[in-house]
Amino acid sequence: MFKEFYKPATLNEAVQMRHSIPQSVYLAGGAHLNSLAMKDYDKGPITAAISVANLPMGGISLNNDMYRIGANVTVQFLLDNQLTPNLLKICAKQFTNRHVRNVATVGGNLSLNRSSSNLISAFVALGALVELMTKDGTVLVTVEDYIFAHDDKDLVTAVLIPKDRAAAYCASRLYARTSSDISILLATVSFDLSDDSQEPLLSNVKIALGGVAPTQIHLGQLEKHLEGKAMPSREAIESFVKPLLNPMSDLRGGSEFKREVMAVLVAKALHDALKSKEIKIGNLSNN
Amino acid sequence: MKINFKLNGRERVLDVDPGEKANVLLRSLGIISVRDGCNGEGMCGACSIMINGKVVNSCLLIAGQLDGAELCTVEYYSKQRTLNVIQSAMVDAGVVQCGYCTPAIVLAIESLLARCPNPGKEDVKDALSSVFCRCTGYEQFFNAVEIAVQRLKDPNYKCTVAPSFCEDMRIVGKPSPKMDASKLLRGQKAYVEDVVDPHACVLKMVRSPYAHAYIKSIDTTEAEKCPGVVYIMTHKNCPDIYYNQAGQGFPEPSPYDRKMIGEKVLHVGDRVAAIVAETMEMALEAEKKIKVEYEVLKPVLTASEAKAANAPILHNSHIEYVVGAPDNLDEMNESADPRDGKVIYQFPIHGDPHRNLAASVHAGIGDVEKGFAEADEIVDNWYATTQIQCTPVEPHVVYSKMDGDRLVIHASTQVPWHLRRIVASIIQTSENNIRVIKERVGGGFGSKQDIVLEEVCAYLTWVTGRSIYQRFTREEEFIASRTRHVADVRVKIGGKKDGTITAIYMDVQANTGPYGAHCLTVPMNACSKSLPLFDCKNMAFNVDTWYSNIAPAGAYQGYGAPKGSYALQLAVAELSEKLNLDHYKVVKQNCVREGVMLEILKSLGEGREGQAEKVMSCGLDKALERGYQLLEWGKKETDPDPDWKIGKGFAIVQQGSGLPGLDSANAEVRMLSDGTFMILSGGTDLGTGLDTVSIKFAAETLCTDTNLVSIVSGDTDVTPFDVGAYASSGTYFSGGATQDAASNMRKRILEVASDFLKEPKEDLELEYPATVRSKTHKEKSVTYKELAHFAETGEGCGQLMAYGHFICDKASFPYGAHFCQVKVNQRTGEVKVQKYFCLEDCGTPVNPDLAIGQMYGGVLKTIGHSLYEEMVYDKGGKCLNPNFTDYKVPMIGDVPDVFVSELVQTDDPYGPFGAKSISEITCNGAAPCIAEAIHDAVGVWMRSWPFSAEKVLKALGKI
Repeated sequence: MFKEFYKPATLNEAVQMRHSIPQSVYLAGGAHLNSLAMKDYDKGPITAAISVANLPMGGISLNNDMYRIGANVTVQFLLDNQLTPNLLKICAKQFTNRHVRNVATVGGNLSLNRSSSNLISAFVALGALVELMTKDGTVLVTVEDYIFAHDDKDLVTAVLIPKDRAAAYCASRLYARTSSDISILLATVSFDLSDDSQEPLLSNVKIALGGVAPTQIHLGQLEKHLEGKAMPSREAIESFVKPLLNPMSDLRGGSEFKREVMAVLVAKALHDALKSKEIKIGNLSNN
Repeated sequence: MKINFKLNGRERVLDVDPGEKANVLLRSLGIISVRDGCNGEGMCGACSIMINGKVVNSCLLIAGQLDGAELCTVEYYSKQRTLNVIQSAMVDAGVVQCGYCTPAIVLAIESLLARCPNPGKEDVKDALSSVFCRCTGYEQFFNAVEIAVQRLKDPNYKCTVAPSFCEDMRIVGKPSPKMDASKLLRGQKAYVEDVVDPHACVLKMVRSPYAHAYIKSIDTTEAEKCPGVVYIMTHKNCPDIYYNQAGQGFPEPSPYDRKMIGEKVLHVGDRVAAIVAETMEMALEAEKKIKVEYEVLKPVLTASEAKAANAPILHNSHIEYVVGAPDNLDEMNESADPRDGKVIYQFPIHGDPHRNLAASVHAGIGDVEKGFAEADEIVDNWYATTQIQCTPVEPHVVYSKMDGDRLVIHASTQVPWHLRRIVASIIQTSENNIRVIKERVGGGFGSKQDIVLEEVCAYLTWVTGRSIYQRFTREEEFIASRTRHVADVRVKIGGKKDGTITAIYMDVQANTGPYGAHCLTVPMNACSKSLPLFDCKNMAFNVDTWYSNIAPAGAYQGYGAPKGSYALQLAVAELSEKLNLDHYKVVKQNCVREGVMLEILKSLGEGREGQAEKVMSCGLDKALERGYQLLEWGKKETDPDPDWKIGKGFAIVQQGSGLPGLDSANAEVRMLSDGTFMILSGGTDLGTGLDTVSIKFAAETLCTDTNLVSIVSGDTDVTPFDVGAYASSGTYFSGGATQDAASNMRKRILEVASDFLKEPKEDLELEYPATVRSKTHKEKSVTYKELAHFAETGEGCGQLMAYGHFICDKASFPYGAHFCQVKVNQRTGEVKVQKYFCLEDCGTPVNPDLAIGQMYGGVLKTIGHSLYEEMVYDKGGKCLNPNFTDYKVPMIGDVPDVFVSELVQTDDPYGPFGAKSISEITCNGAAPCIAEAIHDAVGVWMRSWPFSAEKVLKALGKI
């Protein structure tokens, strides 16, 4: 596929290349771009790879109440790093293919904008901001805005997560056929709980759904419905969610099945999140 | 683009095409341990390398990304022919089967132990999460890691990975290293892809986009002008030779219903044109210039559609019979369309292609209607199954070339001799002009019993004189190799209140796809490996196999038995519930035992008359009792999460050991000049360890060590005839031939020693190690080395050689019982197999560690079949999931939490050293026992596999 390969040293150089070289694409780990799936690439032929591997976009840090996760951070690095917010670790662990975790990056995963993306699900639930290098300089957009529309020529350089969101109650639930399957249905949630009443009340509710629309969505109606309320029963949540969903049927499942199971996953994730502060995902190993 | 990188410790500077896949680049540099099972999909892990200390799929990297990197492959650990700790641990754990994924596993464990010296089970799962192994079921990898961990602490660490059997024998029944394990672990040349000459041509098959169509016109003029194009074959210049691709013994019970390329295409992916070109890029360019005009016909996708009135007919062909033609044949042929070609039956298998009926059979014993009348309860249900694919990690591959005027075919095949016969008939030459060399096979599972690409490649080499390489893509593997027949099975079964089964009737409606490979025998196996499990006087069956326009069906490990087993075993469970009796007690009461005369076998000959036989060895009772104990049958379990309900199930299983009266195998044993031995075996080791079995049989018989016996197998020029590796015949037939040859060598040794020692041969005996000694004059002895020298001198008798042959008309059935515990999420429909116990009686377990590995592999494969594997089609007959992203196969993360395989020893009077088969039987238990466990958990009978979450939710009435 690629006839040309560029290795820019600076962010500006990379963005300029992307604008000036026709049929070019940013190449991060390559877990998707270099795979068989690219034979169905829907944005026309691409012949030039602009490798972002050497760009200064690595590392995880915590500054000014924001976690900053470099776009070149791999999914495995997320799992192994002590600074990584817990929900992000949970979702990174949902990538069960370690070889892919070793090369797939945060920036590459965001750019693909897949409905089944576990990382995007976490980013939506954590209220993340995406830092982009554009031809006009650096800009910050919400992850939801990025998912909704973005210019392929803009380079994802980092994801920023508010520290308070990372400390929220959170959980993620998915449905997949096997351990190596994509997340066919994915529900990731976060919220805060007030501790000033006998029955804790929900606030700042974020619910990200994957697998029920072409991209990840957040379930705004339910978020609004839950705001300031005590956690409803699972059955009540499921009844609320089902009418909001109209997923497409495909070979991985019919619409009715997906709607039913997604409602269960959302309710389950919300209830699991209540217990999340007792749960910490441990590293499998030291590296 | 110039790149610098370090490869296995050596700096490399290369000028590369930056977009070249890293795995392709590395192979061009001689790093052949880097393999490819998914065409760069990144789903199989066979191309694993270590880059900057992390294991990755090299198929997901391009050359440009290697610049500045440090790479390591398994070759790094394989210096000076040594094995490192991890490699030797894998030998000792018995985890090397076909070996195609083995280098990837080595790297994954290396990486794991480097970062985590004391890994837990979840760490091992995570480390191996990216590597697809279809052979082993992964369970023994945990042992391998544990051995390596211990050996890194204590190099002398010894372990027991499998039990030993047969106290009276030195070698048979004991775990021992697989003879090719070291080679495969070192990533050395072993497979077809490793012997391809660098300038060989490639064969690109142009395939039909339509499921059912006539080729109205095809124009290759422009394509032939393309640079590098050597030859293009279409139906217009294809020899008018009909054959069947089923690699079965001649005369085959499968119709000759195809040419290499026909004028009518019968499935999406059917052959339209074969392009021979100097490179794949040239072939692809030529493909674009071939102009094809189709007359598209309505496709037939199911057995129901095929048998419907006015259904489109796939083979409106001229029908011929070699023997046994029906009286009305001329009348039948009046309506034939010449464009449909011919269908030639070697003998009647009761097909009627003009009704889409490929084959049929019905028979029985006793009086089933009387039996049903005697029953207190009757269960009468249909059990539906879908199409599944064998998915060997090494796809179908062949390399053919000329050696002078002889054709040489390097094949990854289960049937070298059938391959030679079929190719000879197509190219119209005699078999002495063809040599088939079976290389190591990277997984077959039945799909490599059929000749699905070799004959075209061989023919085009014969025509052009060019060396030609063809390798299926993963998509071709799904749409153009072999799958298991779709079958709907009706079971009607009656029982009395006391638990006695009074009658069983099975009706199998099978879908063979476009061609009739195994169209009689696979569906019939659904009955012939199910009904004899029960000692019931009234049994009958009907089998109809229908042509359709889905991907071709054929042999797949288990060969139809898993579908019949699912239907009948589940029906027995349902009957037990209806009778309000414990399923276990009903099975114990009715199951077959040693000494039972199997009258039903009279009705179950494979295209010929069968014969009743007495069961001479049967470990079913022991297997059932052990499984009962392990699973704690009857004890109700609960999950802490109320969404999940837990249930238990079990099934009994059987298979055969080759085809009695049909199969035959031959072997030769030669004594070499130093008293060691060389076996020449016709047997085809497809990763299962057959060569190791043969060596063990010879070493045991000849009182020597296994490292003093070598083997050459599966080479039609060098080794004697063998039908091949199918029908679970390897140990029994091919191993039996080696045992016979070794026994004859034993006699020959005694004869020559008698001459040497001047002692009557009756007074001599073989003594370990490699010695002949007088029974009466103990001081008189001769070593094999001395004997070999004596024989080979100018005054000697010549090299000691002995020939062996094995045939058997007795059926030695392996038996077993499978028990499982599942949990079912009643809110989402998900099913998780928590515990699985596989208990098998294979007679004498020759290689206990390898036998257990095959059991794990067979079971996990069929857990996949039962829960999620399924080829899905659109209305036009196009398969929608011909890849590993969409067609899911079990990975190590899908292994049950508790997974146990145990051998139940019996002594079979017919098999070599009392051995029976092991591999295929393991595929027959998962579906029925999981289905019963689901019922036990949530109360629904799953009568359609796979038991997907969506189907379970539907059965529960949730959607």
